[in-house]
Amino acid sequence: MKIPKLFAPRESQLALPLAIFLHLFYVAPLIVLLASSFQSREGGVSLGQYLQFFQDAVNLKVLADTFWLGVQVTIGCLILGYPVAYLYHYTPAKWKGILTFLILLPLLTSSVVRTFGWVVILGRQGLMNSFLQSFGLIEEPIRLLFTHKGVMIAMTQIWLPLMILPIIASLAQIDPRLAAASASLGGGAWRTFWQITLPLTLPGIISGCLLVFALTVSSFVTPSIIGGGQVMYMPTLIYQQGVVLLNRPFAAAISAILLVMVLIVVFAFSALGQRSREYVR
Amino acid sequence: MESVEQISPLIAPSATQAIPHVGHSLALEQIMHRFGAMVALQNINLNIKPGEFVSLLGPSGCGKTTLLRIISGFLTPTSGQIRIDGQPVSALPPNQRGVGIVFQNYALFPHMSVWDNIAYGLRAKGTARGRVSNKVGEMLELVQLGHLAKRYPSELSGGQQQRVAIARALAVEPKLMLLDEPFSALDKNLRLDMQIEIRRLLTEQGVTAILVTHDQEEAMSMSDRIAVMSQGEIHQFGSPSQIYDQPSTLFVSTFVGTCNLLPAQVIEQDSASHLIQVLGGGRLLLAKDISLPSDRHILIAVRPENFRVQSEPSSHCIPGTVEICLPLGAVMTYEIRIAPDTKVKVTQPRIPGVAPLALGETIYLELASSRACSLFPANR
Repeated sequence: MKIPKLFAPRESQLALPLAIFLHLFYVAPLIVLLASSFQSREGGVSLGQYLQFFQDAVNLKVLADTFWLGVQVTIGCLILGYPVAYLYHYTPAKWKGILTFLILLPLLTSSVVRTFGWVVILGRQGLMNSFLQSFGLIEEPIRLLFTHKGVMIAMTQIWLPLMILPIIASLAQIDPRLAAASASLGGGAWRTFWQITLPLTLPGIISGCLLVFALTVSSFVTPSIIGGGQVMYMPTLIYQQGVVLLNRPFAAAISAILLVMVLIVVFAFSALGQRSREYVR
Repeated sequence: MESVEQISPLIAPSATQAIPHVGHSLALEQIMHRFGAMVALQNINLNIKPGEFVSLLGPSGCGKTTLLRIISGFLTPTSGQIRIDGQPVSALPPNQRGVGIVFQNYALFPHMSVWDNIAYGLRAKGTARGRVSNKVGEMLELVQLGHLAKRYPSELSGGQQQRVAIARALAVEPKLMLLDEPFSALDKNLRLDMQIEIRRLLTEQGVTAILVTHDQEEAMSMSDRIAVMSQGEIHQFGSPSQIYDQPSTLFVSTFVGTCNLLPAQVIEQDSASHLIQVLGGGRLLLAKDISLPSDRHILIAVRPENFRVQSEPSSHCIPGTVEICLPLGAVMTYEIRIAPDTKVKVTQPRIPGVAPLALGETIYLELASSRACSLFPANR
């Protein structure tokens, strides 16, 4: 029996099932979404939804807060994550399994569970406050739950693995002889780190930052629960407009604006990373 | 290895070059190193003179790279002392030891230009900006890469990368230069050019250098002296001709060049000579000054070019039959069966007009001179 040509796959055809899936469930809805964002209240085509968004200071503050949250969480993950990746890289092979498990642990639990964990920690009578009070560092409990600060702390912990993993990968690609060469030329440990290791892990840092930023600004569960409706971010605003107030065209416009913001950051980082990636053979 | 007489590797530093800085000496005293229960190095003693070019030659796993890491400070030996110019340096970390390294893959910093690579060590030392600039310029000129200063390592050929690696290591004026199999990534023609060039550069600069290699021709052609290593020990430390002509152990005689090993027995010793009975047939008369193992059962090691082929038997010869004849360029290589289970390789100069030996012909092998062999105890 002759096998039909379609089933004698060339390499590109192997990706066909995924391509069909993505077009049906990702590209098509995206087009519908973008199209509906240009719907005016009367049913015609206009930029009205976008004008409405940018004319209201409250919306602009939500946009700014979301961006700022993304920046803060990204920086937080980088500062906390790089040393962990570095530690992992220099850990003897027999301990690496345990360390991998610990790093991945946050990803293995549902984000709802993790978020409720943070509610317990950040609450007025929570672990954080009782800890600080028992050491006499504060007199009155500080308000963390339902604040921007609280959301930031929880999100940093939740997305940390996605910063650590790409940095581990890029550290593993560095030829260990480069550090030896640096030392043999008289370079101390700090010089070797700043001049050799850090620049060569830039591709990993950039991937990590992109992942963390994109996931943070599009998170819904954690900002809703930790923020408790007191602090508003783009995804919660989209939910409010689209699902609660049933203003679908406006929600679509907010979605498009969020998408553009993420894309701008992605392109900025990619441009930054372009040069650094060229050296890494 | 055809050439017995090694071309002298010494290249006289020309007077027009910059004044070389004075070389430094290196002494290794009783170095021993263990990885867990495995002894990687033992009883290593080496004295390297200022400005000398020394090779550590041995098969992979012989400990030469471990020794290199110990000298450079990346590995602390289990015991023993390292001295540079008589000063113990074992306690110094790699970045304070002043030992430059050229790695097998050159290990150039991929994100830095050629210029920045060479300047790296000078900047690490806190050299003033103007001096850095002068020195880098001087180094670029030395390796003739001035026109490529702004390029990145990935934009250079293998030979150019190696020159950058040399310039980078020389820029900080190291006390010692370690070369870790630096030629193995280069193709054959380029390799020879780079060997000559690097030897010239190091001699001009008066730098003491240690080359780690498993390539005996490379070690022979570049070195003042060679330390032949096997299984964590130095078997012999001597000039290339000493290593080739007077191997001190069975390992050296077989690892360097080609060697026929024939089991034999000492049957007579008198004031002028040793009479040796080759097991399988034939007798040889050796000069008295060839050192004799204490055991009567010995192995006699003869290089293929050190046999003389005769058509008539004499009082001291090994009879044999020609089995294989290979015309390999400058020499004819024969395989001669001297006993049912013993064959020897013999090379003879190829002379036009002289007919090569015929297959199946019976011939008689004599030693080219009564000193043209080495003797080792058989029980090994």
